[in-house]
Formats: sequence, structure tokens, C-alpha cells
Amino acid sequence: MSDGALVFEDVTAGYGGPHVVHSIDLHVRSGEVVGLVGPNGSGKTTLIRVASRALRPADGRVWVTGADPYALPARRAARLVAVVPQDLVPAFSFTALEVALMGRSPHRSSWGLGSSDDWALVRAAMRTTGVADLADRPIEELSGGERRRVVLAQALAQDAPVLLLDEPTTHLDLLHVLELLAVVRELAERGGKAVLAIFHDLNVAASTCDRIYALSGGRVVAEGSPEDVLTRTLLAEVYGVEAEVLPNPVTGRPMVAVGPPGEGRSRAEPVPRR
Amino acid sequence: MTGLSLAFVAALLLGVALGTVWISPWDTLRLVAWKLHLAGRPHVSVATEVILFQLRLPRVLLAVLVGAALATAGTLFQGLFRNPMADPAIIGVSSGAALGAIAVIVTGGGSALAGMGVTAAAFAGALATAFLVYRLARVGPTINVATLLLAGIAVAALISAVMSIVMSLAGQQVRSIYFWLLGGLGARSWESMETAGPLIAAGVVVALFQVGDLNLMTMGEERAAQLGAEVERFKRVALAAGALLAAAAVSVSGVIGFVGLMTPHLLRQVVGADHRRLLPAVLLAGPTFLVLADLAARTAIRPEELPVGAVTAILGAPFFLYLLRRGRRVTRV
Repeated sequence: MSDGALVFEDVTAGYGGPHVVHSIDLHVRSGEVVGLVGPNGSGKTTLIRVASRALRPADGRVWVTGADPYALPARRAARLVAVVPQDLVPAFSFTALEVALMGRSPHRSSWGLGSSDDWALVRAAMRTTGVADLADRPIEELSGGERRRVVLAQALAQDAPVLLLDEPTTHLDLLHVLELLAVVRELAERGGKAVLAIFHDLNVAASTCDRIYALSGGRVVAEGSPEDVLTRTLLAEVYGVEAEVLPNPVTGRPMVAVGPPGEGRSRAEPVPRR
Repeated sequence: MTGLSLAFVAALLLGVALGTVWISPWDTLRLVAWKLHLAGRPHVSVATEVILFQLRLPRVLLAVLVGAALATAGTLFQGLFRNPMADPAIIGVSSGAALGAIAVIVTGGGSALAGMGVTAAAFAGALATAFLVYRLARVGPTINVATLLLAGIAVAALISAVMSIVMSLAGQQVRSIYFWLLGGLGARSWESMETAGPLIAAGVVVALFQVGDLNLMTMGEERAAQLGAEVERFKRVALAAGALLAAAAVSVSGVIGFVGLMTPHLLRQVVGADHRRLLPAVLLAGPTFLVLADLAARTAIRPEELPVGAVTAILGAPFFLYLLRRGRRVTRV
């Protein structure tokens, strides 16, 4: 077992039909933000589901802080892995605070109203994601971006060493994207969390991640620093786009610039799906 | 919650006091204290004593039990199905119970066993239907909640059709079938409480242990699991407890609609969606509502009685619609 708070060992998984991801080896160390990039259907969300104990691998093993989450009760596993799903709309009208407070469920009994520590953690999580002012608002009255940040607060309140994010920046406006990415970096750097996040925006991935895994057809096709992974060749191979990769004048990280696909460009063939 | 508790106590006292003969709450308290060997026999007529212990008290307490059972079952099912329109009837419990009862009435077993046969058959029918619906919705180790809903509706429709046929052939017994279907708390005794009471108490206790998971389940199964809920176990437990509660209630009181549907929905507007507040509130409000509805049913057109199921619908439906229209907190279906 290689070191890391989250480790995939030769994981193959699917939903009953043909396998969606094949022989994935992946690891995320504590204090590290690792990105998953790849086109639609490349298996990114499947990997998040495998890591979050929602989809047992057909083959291979997953380790979370050295434990097999599928061998643990849901409650114990939820103390180790927190997930931020793409969207969340409760069936009934909970307030933002009540939703965030549910993040403490794995740590307390069903009837526990929460210790002062629980409340402090939830309040802090809501301040961190900038939704403290929305505490008493019904969740369904919030905008998509506000709801998104309430859900992030819920996951932060879970206080797990491994954090999984499924496209954390969708629905967010530019300022909140930057704030959220700063929060994610801070959680890793100061909080020692191991963060695995799906990014559709490659520039966001490049500016945030320590390492990136590029997926295509359910396999890892590249792995390494943003500079190593986000190359002209790889973008052509994985996304089938002609792109320029330049240093970002503000961050110095790689920046992907693309024009519209069209005539006169040598459109590379994407790697066939299996 | 204080308001609900006061309303509950007031409903109990009113329910016992009002009727053909007025029994003051003071007399009631003294008579109960005497029965519990806490005080000497008060100077109250024997007629009052008999009315209190043979008629009023069992009836009011039965309304409390049935109200608590239906409201709790409604809360469980609405949480389980993530749908505010779910009620105890939805998994076929009510129709199964009705079929069981009708089978006994038509074959004459009911009269032979002095009513207890109907109760037992209703209970068996309710549980059997719930189990059938559950089996239909189960694929491998998991229960698909959408399939459960559809299977419940389909099975209920099938049973209703069978009942219609049986009723059209029933001849003489059609009136007693009809009476049973309308639901009522009259002519019930301490014995029916001895059967239903422990079952209902057990169901309520089990439900009280599910409040945390009920909250998590409102966000969907996958999210609930991510936050530590054992989802499959929860679904089984909630379904079993809800079916048991509904079956016990239906078996002693017939089909009383609206309590299970409306109470949780209404209370959510008042105390919010958090089941740690909602379930206790529902446990007070369901009995309060049914005691008052039954009071109206037996006093409105004295000496005749209205079916309590009709009263709950007449009181419940307009209020429900009013809340729906007011829509302070919008409910998605």
C-alpha cells in the first residue's frame, strides 16, 4: 500500500454493465490538492463515488487513512471522508444552518442537539464558506451558488481528513470561485486535508492543484504537476482540442487558451473509449 | 411545543367532558385517581362512572393511540419517500386492512368472533399487503423507493377493485362493510387498546430512534450514506415501523384519512423540517386532531354519529388547502 490519505490500488469499477474505470492507481497525501480532469464520461465522478463508499470496486482496493471504507460502518466511514456533491436540494424546507449541522451527524447521536464544539465547528464552517449570514434562510430560497457553499459548509463540518469535491466551482460567480479555491488550498495546507477534486475548468485546476490526474476512457493517461499534465499534446489527445498552453501572467501556473473548433485546424483524434 | 402540549391536554379534557352527559374535568380527575387507588371514591353517580370508564375514556384514549400511530406513520413515509404527499395508505396498508376486514365480514367470521376477528383480519391484511409491496419493490439487497411508491399504488388499486366486486356481491353485509370503511372510534373497548396499544407504542419508539436518519434521507440516499446513514437498514426499519403503526391503527379504527398525510405536513410549517422537532410535535398534534375530530363526530348531530373519517377530511382538507395556498414555505412535490 503506497502512502497517502486516499489510495486507489488497481481499482476497476462500474455500474453492472461494462466497467467504467479500469485499473486506476491514484493517491492523495495529506496536505495535497489533487485534481481529476478529463472529458465527459471519462470516469471522474465514478472515482469520486468509489472513494466515497457509494460504489464498491469490482476489483482492486481503496484505502482511506489506511482503512477500507467498505469494511467500515457508514458512520465510521463518514468520519474519514467528506464529499461535496454537485448539487443538493433537501425534500423539505430546512434552514441553511440545519443543513450545515447535518454534517456533524457522523459524530453525534441521533437526538444529540450537538455539543458546543459541534456548533462552533458548524458556525466556523459557515463563516469559512461565507454563508454565516444565511443561517436562518430556508435552503430552497437560496441561489445555486449560495446553496453550493452551504453544502460545502456541511462537508467541512464533517471534519474528515479526506475531502472529495465534485466540480466545486460550478454555479459560483468569479469572486466566489476564487474564494472557494482559496478555502480549498487552505484546508489542505493548514488543515492537512487530503483533497481530491473534479475540475472541468482546466485553468482552475492548474491554479489550484498540486498534482493532476488526467482521465480518458476510464484510464489514467497522465499524472503529475499541472505543468507536466496540461500540455498541448495531452489536450489534443484527451479532449481532442487544439490548444496553446501559456504561463498565466498572474499566477505563473500553466494556462490553457483555446479557440473555437473549426476548419483549418488539425483536430486530433480523441483516444477511443473502451 | 408548549402550545401543542396545552392543546393536547385541553383536547383530552374536552373529549372526556363533552357528550350526552357532561362530566366535569374535576370529576374525571377524581374518578381516575380513585381507580388508581390514589384517593377515595368521590361522590359521583354510578352512571357517570360507567360512562367515563366504559365509553368516554376508552374512546378518547383510542383516538390518542390511533392519532399518534397515523401521524407517526405519515412522518416516516413522507421522510422515506422524500415526498410530502406520502401517507400510510400509500404502501397499500389501508386497502390491505380493509380487504382483510371485509373478508371476515362477508364470510360471517366477524359476527362469530364479536368483532375481534375483524380487527385481527384487518391487521393481517395490512401487514401482508405492506410485505407484498416491499417484496415487489426490492431488487437484490436494495429497495428502490420510486418502485415502492408505484408498487404501493398499483397493489392498492388492485385491492380496491377486488373490494368493489366483493361489496357488489355482499348484499346484506354491505352496510357493515361501509361502516368499517368510513372509519370510526365508536364501539371500541379497552380490549382493542390492549391489542393495538403495545404495537403502536413499539412503532413510535422505533420511529423516535430514526430522527437523525430521517433528516439525512431528505437529501437523497447517496448523500445520506455519505453523512453516515446506513441507508438500506433505515429503509427497512422505517417501512416496517410505518406499516406496523398503520396496520395497528387501521385494525382498530378502520380507514381514517388525512391525519397521516396532513399532520406532518402542517407541523413542518410550524416547527420546521428537522425531525428532532417535527416528530415530537406530530406525536402531540396527531392525537389532538383526532380527539377533537372524534368529539365533533359524536356531538355534531347527536344522538346520531358522523363517521370520524369524514370529519377529519372535512376539517382537514380546507385547512390543508389554505396552507398550500398561503405557501409561506413552498413545498416541492
